[in-house]
Amino acid sequence: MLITEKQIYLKQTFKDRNEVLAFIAEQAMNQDVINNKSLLFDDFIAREGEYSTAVQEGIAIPHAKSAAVKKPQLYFVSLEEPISWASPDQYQVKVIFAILVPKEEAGTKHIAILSALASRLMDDDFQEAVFEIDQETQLLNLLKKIEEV
Amino acid sequence: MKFVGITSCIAGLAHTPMAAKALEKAGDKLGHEVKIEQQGAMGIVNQLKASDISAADAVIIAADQSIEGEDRFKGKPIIRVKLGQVVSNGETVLTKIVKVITEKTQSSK
Repeated sequence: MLITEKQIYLKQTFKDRNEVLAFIAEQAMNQDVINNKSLLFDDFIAREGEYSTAVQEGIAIPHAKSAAVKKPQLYFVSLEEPISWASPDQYQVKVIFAILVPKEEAGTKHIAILSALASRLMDDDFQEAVFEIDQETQLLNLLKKIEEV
Repeated sequence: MKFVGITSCIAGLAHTPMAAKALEKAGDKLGHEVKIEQQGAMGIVNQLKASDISAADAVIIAADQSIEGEDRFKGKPIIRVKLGQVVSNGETVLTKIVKVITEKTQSSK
């Protein structure tokens, strides 16, 4: 499983990007998905530095291929109020898909699913469905559809 | 017009497929044929055929690292674009590319 209900955080309040990323790192550490909180955070930030992962209005997909990560996992956070993601397009972010992948992982089924997810996020109808999520099961069902493809 | 292209990002996870999708989507909307090969964490996805390349008016490369098999595009006009821009504004980027290629072909006539 790439994501369980415990990795979904709906209607949260954070003041900026770094707070969200630190929160995800904290949760991942508590859930034994990673073995180094600050390394994951730094890898997230390094990735954001290459270019922002706020790719469309409303959506960010921070991701880290990090030595801190033990197994590929997905985290989902939705926000009560949109925040700035420090993106050059000035996008305001309301939903966050955080992708955590071990450094050496490539070509596996999990990677295929995460790539498919990224690709689906470019679809207008999928985006709408994502913005409307107010229950954990809605997200899990959306992701199930991707896994079946 | 017909385009082929490559997308490739360092992690190969998200921007590679997203940029490919953005360009193909922009192609559909603007009425151009766009076929993109992804070079990412899944290896090579949607590999371009020699026939795709020879039929193309131009090659779009959206990569933040060196790509595999660039020699396949010898003799074709190559346009390099920024990955992030492609993902955020696929249509704007493709419109610009079409303009550049149109001007190039006109000036060479």
